[in-house]
Amino acid sequence: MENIFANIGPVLLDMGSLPVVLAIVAGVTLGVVLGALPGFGSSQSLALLFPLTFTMPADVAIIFFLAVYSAAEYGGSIPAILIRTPGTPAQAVTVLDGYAMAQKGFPNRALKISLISGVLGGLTSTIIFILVGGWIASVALEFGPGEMFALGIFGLSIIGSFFGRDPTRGFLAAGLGLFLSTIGTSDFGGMRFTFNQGFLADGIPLVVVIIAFLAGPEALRLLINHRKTIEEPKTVLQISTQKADDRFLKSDIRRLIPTWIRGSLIGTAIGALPGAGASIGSLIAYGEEKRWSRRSKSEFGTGIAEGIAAPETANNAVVAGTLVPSLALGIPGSGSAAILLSVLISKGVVPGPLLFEAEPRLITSIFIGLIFINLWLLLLGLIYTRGFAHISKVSRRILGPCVFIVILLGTYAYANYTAHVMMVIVLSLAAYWMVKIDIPVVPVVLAFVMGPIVESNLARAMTIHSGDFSVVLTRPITLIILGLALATFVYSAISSMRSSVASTNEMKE
Amino acid sequence: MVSVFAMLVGAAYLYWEATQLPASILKGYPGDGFFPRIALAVILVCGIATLIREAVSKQLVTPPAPEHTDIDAADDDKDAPINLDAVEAFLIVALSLLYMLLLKPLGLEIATSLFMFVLLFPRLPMRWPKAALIAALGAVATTLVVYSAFVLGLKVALPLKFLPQYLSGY
Repeated sequence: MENIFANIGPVLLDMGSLPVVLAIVAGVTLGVVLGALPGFGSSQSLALLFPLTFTMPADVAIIFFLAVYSAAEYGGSIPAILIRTPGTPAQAVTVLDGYAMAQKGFPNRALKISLISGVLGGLTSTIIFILVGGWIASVALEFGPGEMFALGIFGLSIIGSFFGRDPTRGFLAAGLGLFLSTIGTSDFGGMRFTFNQGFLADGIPLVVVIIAFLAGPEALRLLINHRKTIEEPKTVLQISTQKADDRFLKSDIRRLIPTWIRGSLIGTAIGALPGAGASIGSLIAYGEEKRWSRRSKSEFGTGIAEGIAAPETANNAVVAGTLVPSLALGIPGSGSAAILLSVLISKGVVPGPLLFEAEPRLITSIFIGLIFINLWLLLLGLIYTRGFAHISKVSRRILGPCVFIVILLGTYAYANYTAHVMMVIVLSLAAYWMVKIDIPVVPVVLAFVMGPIVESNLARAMTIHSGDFSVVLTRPITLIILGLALATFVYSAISSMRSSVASTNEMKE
Repeated sequence: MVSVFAMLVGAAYLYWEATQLPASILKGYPGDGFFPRIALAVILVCGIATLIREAVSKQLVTPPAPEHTDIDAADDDKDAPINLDAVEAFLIVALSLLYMLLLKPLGLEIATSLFMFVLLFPRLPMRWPKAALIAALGAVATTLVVYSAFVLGLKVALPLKFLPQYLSGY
């Protein structure tokens, strides 16, 4: 921890360097633009921009991606407030009070509340990240291969349980990700599932899996949906019958402080849980705000400040929250976190408990970088916000082909290798099909990232104990973590069975 | 249902493949096939569970056959025998594979312009001469943007026919 704070001075100087400034400015701008596009969440935006990081050094690449991630979470709120079209699923709740406030003639006030809440959520969770992340990493330093294996299984149990319509589909997708991670050369030199094809010897690169499973289905959907009628969004001007006091008021600050605190804590905690994300974070924050706020429940949805501030604080607080398990334990909690980890891995940095000890300067860069990113986001939002709403009106018919060509050439840029592009094309089709038949794709990516961690720690633990895995199970921490994994699985299975029985009864009636 | 069944058949075959992987000579190491077998077993168990759940829920509730009035509604019906989405997805994939094969012989400039034209033209909601003109202009513009971003900006060694690899200063 001391190492991290000792680096603050040099890192602050780095923040003034041209590559870092460009990474923050470009990342925030691109993030807001992509976040404002309906259907483009933070993970799709990050997957699409992945090729841009190939030539960047590790610290610049991670700052660029954090800028895109934070800004995309905020960007979706602009069309949500101005034209009732949430850019990402996380902003679906913001529509309720944001659009209502804009319709009453206060669009600027709604936008400012969203912006300031998002920035405050981001800053608070950044501070929590540096304090909690360092502590968790120092505890996890004591973990051996058995505990790390158990931690991987716990992560997989959460991912399988809570993504998708029911746990069987979530675990089916996780199994697929685990299997894909075993293709190619194993840790001990054996070749697996290469079918005598040279291009499979090195396995499927993480970049290919990320682009194919996160950006691919959305690109194919944009290309295919051109036959269908798409409701054109309302113009921004139609709702802008602005009133004189359409601005962020001083009284708002006093009134919203408890909301910001609640939203920040909820967002950070939800972000730190594998499987949950900004959508769940904003939904829970809105629900809790309804419960704890002094306002009556009936006022929510009519255009009140708390209804915008709570979800917007939470969905931006998720960003730093998600870094806690990702960086401290090497377990990504969401598609976006998996992409952030893969950027680090592609630069030779290994996420996990040792990262805080081995790369204190990088951790400090992330900490300080997040602060600067949020400040730039605030500045950009204060200067110019409403223009971004027009982005959501870009025709899907044009957007689809453009996104698709970026995906193809972006994959090629990774290693100038046509086989990688072929893999992306085939896997994108598979991912698109999985989405169509209701199998979630995010667990595939998360399990693909965690597969090597789980496998190598399992192999190490078994080798140490001469193949007797029961010795590993005698360690109390391993047992506790595996017990938690089992409890998660049982809980999700029971709640899924209950909901399917309830829905069957409903349909019968 | 058919897709999950196909996935199960594939997983069963790969599980058999995993059992054929050689055992480890290193004491304690469970072998290269151990972890893939676990992953494939997860797929098999969850796939079977998904099939059973689907079958049970279909038996309990049999919805009336949908009557489609337009092409879009028919397309959204997952039980329909021919799905236009699937046909179009396969066409796009075939076109993309063709694009990658032609990238080297035709060069980025021609291959990308043709690829973008083919993607844009049928998607533009206007009469064909105007759509063709706009698609052609859009295809060339996209090619130039792609060239600037990937070749000049990111220094990716994409095959070029007539545009320069580097723009040198005076």
